[in-house]
Amino acid sequence: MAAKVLIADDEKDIRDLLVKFLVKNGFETRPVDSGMEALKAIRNDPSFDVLVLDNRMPGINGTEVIRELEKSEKRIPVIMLTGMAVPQEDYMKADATLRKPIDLNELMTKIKEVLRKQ
Amino acid sequence: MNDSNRPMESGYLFRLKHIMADLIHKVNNPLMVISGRAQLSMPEDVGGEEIRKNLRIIKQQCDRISEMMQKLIVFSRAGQEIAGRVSVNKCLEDAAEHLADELSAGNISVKKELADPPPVMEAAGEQLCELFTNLLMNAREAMPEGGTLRMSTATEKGKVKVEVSDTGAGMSREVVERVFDPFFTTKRGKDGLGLSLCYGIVSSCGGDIKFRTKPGKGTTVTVLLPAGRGG
Repeated sequence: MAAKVLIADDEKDIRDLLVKFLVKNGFETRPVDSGMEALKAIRNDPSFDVLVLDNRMPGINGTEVIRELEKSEKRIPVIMLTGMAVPQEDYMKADATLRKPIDLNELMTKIKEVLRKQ
Repeated sequence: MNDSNRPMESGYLFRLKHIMADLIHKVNNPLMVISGRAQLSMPEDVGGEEIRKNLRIIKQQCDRISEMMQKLIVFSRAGQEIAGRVSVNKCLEDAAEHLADELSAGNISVKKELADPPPVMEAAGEQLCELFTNLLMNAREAMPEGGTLRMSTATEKGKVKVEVSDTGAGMSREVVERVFDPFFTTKRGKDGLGLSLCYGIVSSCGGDIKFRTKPGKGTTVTVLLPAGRGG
């Protein structure tokens, strides 16, 4: 069965790019445009295998999403995408961090890594 | 003598750093879309060789912009690296070693005066090496006909003092005033981000960087950094 990737990024062009790339590589995807929507999606559907999460989003940002997930004890591997650097302690909370603009092959490697660890 | 004595957080640079932080975010997203779309279309089974070559060039140029963005991240203090205890002498010597071939090919003799015991400080070692590499590179570029590069470290009143001097052309007051501005350069083919990056690294360490220069007589860069225990 294809692994399910939840993609949270407020930029439509980036969501479209990631969906196209991941679908092409055999993943099932669900794009959402905010941190709040990502939390809602995880609450409603516990079957996501990995969350690809932009850090800088309006509303609640990526690091806040991770904190909320910790509080609710929902365990889902997170790959954080960031244009800027993230405070060290938040880096440690994500399972992997990629600096934008990302290399798509590197994203694939990270997804495979976190899925292997599951 | 032209000195740069502006405070590390002058209003102008403070505003500039915030503008840079926004700019990095705004540039990175479209850059990721351009680079990503090029990567999506690059596999061997898509398009002809000419198209794939063009896509590779698009990706390479995106990487080039991305590299500049990384330097701006350091300038705007958005960069957060793991800090540890580092030997300032070692970082300076590593940087000089890294440039040894270039210095020798440029007929530049290097004089070292390093403090003993070696000063230590809390910093990201890689960033400190990057800082010194940039300063040494600048000194090297200031002496196209060769000359003497002096580098020294000392501990003074809880600060680590690092000085890099050249016997090159020196700088005018107008140049000194703009020396930390991103993209400002007097050299052909340079991106003008080297000293902005140095400024960002020093300021993120809570230090200070100053230039003393005289046209025709050379330049001395003084970096003051907070010493760690044992420094």
